Amino acid sequence: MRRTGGAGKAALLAAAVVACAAAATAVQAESLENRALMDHAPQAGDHPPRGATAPVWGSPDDPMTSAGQRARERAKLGRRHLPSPVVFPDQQLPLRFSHRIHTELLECVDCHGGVRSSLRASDVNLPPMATCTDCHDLEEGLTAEGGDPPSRCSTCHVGYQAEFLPGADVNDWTQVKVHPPEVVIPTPNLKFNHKLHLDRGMDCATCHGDLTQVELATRDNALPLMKTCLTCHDGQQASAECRTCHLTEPTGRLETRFAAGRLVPGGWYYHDAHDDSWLQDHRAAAQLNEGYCANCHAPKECVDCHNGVTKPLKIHPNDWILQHPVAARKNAPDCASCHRSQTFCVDCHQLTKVAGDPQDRANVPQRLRFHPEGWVAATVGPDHHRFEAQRNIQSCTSCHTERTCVACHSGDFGANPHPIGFAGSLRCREMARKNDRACVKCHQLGSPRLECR
Amino acid sequence: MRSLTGLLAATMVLLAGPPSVRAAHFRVESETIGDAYQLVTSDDELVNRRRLHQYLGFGAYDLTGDGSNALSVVTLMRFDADLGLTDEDVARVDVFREHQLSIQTAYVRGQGLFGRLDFKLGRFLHSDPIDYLMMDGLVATVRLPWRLGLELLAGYEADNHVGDLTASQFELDGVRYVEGVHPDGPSTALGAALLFDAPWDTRARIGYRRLFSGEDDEVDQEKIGAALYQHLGPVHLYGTGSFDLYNRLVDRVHAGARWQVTDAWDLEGQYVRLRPTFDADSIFNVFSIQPLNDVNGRVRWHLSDGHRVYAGGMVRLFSVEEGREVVDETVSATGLMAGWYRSWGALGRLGADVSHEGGYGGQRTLFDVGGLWGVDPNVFEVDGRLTAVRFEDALQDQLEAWSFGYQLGGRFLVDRRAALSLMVEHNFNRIHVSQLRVFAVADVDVWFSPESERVQ
Repeated sequence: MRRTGGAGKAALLAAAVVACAAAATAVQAESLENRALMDHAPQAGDHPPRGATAPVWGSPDDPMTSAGQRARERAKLGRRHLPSPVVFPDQQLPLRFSHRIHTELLECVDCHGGVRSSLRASDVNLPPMATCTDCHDLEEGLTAEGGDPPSRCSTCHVGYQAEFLPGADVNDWTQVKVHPPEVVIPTPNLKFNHKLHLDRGMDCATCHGDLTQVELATRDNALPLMKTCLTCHDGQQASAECRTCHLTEPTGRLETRFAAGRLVPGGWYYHDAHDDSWLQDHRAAAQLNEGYCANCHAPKECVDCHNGVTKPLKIHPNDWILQHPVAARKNAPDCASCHRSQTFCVDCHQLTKVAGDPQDRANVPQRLRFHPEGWVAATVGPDHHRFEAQRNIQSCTSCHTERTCVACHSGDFGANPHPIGFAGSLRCREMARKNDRACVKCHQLGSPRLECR
Repeated sequence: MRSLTGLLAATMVLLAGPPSVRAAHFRVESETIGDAYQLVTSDDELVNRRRLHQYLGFGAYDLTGDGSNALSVVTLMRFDADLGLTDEDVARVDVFREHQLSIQTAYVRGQGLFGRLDFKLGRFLHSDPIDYLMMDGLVATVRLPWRLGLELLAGYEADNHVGDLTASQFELDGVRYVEGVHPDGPSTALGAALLFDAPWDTRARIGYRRLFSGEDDEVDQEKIGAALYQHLGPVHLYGTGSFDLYNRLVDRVHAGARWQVTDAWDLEGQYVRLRPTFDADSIFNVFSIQPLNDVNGRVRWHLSDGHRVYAGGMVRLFSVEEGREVVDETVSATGLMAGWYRSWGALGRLGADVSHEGGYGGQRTLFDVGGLWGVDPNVFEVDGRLTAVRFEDALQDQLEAWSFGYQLGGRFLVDRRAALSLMVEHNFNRIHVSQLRVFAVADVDVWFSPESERVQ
C-alpha cells in the first residue's frame, strides 16, 4: 500500500480507454451502416415500374429496397420486438422487389420451389435468376420500352446498367463486365427443416406472415419471431426444448457466441432479460428451474461466482474490500448468495484482525474499536448491539462465532435472547425435539429450560 | 469422499463399455488464475495475498453416440494455493488451508432418458427455492403426464469438514467447526419436489428438503420451498419463498413483476423479505427477529436493442415479528439508482450507473462507468472500469471516504481453444493511499470430437 506516483496518470489512461472504446465502436458501427446504405440506395435515373407511386421511386424511402425498409424502421422511436440479428445475421439485399405485386400473380412455390425439399436452415431458398427471366425477358428489357413486365436490369438491380463484354450474347446476363451487387443471406444460426413443416400441413404465411402486404421481404418483416415457433413448440404439440431449434455445442448446451454477436435472452417470453437487474433477478429464474439456465451455462459459470475464490470484477465495484462493510450491513447485494459468514467472512476478518476474541480486545481504546460506544452496555440504547443482531445477524456472524454470544447469553440466568413467551411454546418444543444440540450450548444438562419450561 | 470416488469409478467403467462411446465428444478445460494484492490489518500491518487457482475439467458428452446428449460425464477440480502469507498470518485464522485440492463437480448426467427421466449422479451444486446445496448424491426428475414432474434428491451435503477434497461455500452456515472436523459426520440430505412446467406460460415447483446428522438423526435444516412464474400477456410474474420448518417461520420471500408496457418501455417491481436462518446446530437462529422488507421499482426505456436507460428506487423497512421491547420499531433505508447502457455487438459496449443508498447501514453514493472495446472483435478486447464511491458506515465513524478506482485489462484469444487475460485494479482514497490488485487468467479449452457434419 504505497503511493504510486502514476496513480493519476493510470486513472486518466483508464478513462481514455473507456472513452476511446465508445468512440471507436460508434464510428466503426456507423461507417458499416453507411456503407450498407450506399450499396443499397436507389440511383437517380432509375425508372419506376408500372403502378409504382412516383415520389417513392428513386428515393431512400422506397419500400421495395432494403434502404427504404431500413429508413422505415429508423423512423420508429425505441426498441421493437423483431427477429434477432444474432439468429438471422444481417442480410444484403441490393434488390428492388415487391412481394405484394408478385403474389397477385404467383404462388410462393412458383419462385421458392426449393423449400419443398429443404432440410436445413443453411439452404438458401431464393429463386435463381433463371426463375425471374421466365417472366422478365432480358432482351425486351434492352428495348426503349423496357419490356412488360419491366425487364431492365435496373428494374430489380437498383442503379445497375449492364455493360456486356465485346461480342457477348446480350441475352446471356453472365457475359457482363461488372455484375450487380450480390444478394447475401447468411446462414441463420438455427436448425430448421422446411420440408418437415410443410409436410405437416403448415403454410408459408404461418411463419412468414402475410407477404401480400409486403414490398421487399426482409428479416424484420418476413422472418418469424420465436413466439411464432412457440405456438406449436409448446412441449406437447412439438418439443419446447431450446436445442430443438437452436444450435448446440457438443456439450448439448446452446451455442451463444456467433460472429453476429452473443445470443442473449431478451425477456420477451420469460423473465430472463439479461439486463441491468439480472444480477439480482436471476435468483428467481435459477431457483425455479436451474435446468433452464443450464441450456446455455456450464456449471463452472455458476461456480466461478457462487463458489469462487477471486472477486468477480464485473459484480463488485472497485475498492470493494474497503467499502463492503456498508453493503454488508445493508445486505445489498445479498451476501449469502455467494458467501457463508462462518467460513468465508470470518476467515478473512480473522486474517486482517477485524475479528478477534472479545477478551483479547477488551483493552483496545474505544477509538480503535469496531463498534460504537454503548454497544454492549447494560442499559439498552439506540446503539446497542441487540438491534443489529435482531435485524441483520449475518453482519454479526461475519466476525463473531457462537462463543462470543454464549459468553453473555448462556445459562439459565444469562441475558435471554429468546422472544417473549418462547419457553413453553410449541416452537420451543419442536426445535428441541428436532435438534437440541443448539440448546445445550447455553443451557446446562438437567436444566428445565431444555424441556421448554 | 470414498463413496463419491467409488460411485464415479463404477459409473465410468459402465459407461466406457459400449462401442458407441467412440462417437462421444471429450473435453479438457483448464483455467489458471493468479491474483496478487495486499490487505491492511486493523493494526496497520500489511498482509500479502498472492493466490493461485488452477481449475481442471474433463468432460465426456453424448456417450450414447446418437447426438441426443442423453448421457454425459462432467468433472471440475480446483487447486487453490495461498502464497505470500506468513506463518503468523496463518496462525490467526482458526481454520485455514494454505493448499487445497477440491472437486467442484463430478457427476454423470442423464437427459431425456426413456423420454422422461433426467438425473445427476455424483457431486454437483443444486439450486432451488430452499437454498443452494453442494451435494454428493443423486437428483432425479421424472416427467409425469399433465406437464407435471417429480424430483427426488438423496445424498450427503458436501461439507468442508468431512471430506478432504471439498471446498464449498455452501455448507450450512452458523457453526464454525474449529477442530476442522464435523462432530456429527456428514449431513444426509433427502428431498422431493413437485414440478409443473408449461414453458413460457406457467412454471411452478414446491419442494421439501431435510438435512440431518448424528446418531439420532437430528435436523440440520428442514424447509419447504416454492417458486412460481406466470406469463400474463405483457406481464411476467415471479416469486420464490421458503418456510423453515425447524424455526417455524418464513425465512425468505422474493416476488416481483415485470410489465412490458410497450416494446420500448418496461416497469419492474420487486418485494424481498429476509429473516436469516442457520444450521439447526447454531444458536444464531434465536437472535434474528426483525426481518427486512425491501420494495424496489425500476423503469427502463430501450432506445433500441442493446441501448437502454433505467431509473429506480428502493425502500426498506424492518418489521418486528415477535414481542420484544424495542427502542426504534422500524428502521428504514432508501435508495435511488439510474443508468445507461449501449452495446455495439462484438465491437464493444459502454455503460454508466449512478446510485445512492442511505438510511440503515450507512450512506453510499456510487458512480460507475465501464466499457469494452473489441480492438479486433472476439480476438483482442480491452476492458475498462472507473468507479468513484462515497461511503459512510453508520456505526464506524472512521469508515467514511471518497474512493476512486479503475480497472484496466485485456483479453487475447490466442486460438479458438486458448485465451489470456490480464486485469489491473487500482484504488486510491484517504484510508488506503494506493492499492493495486493484479489478476491474470489463462484459459485452455480443448475438444476431441468425431468428424461430423454440422446440421444447421
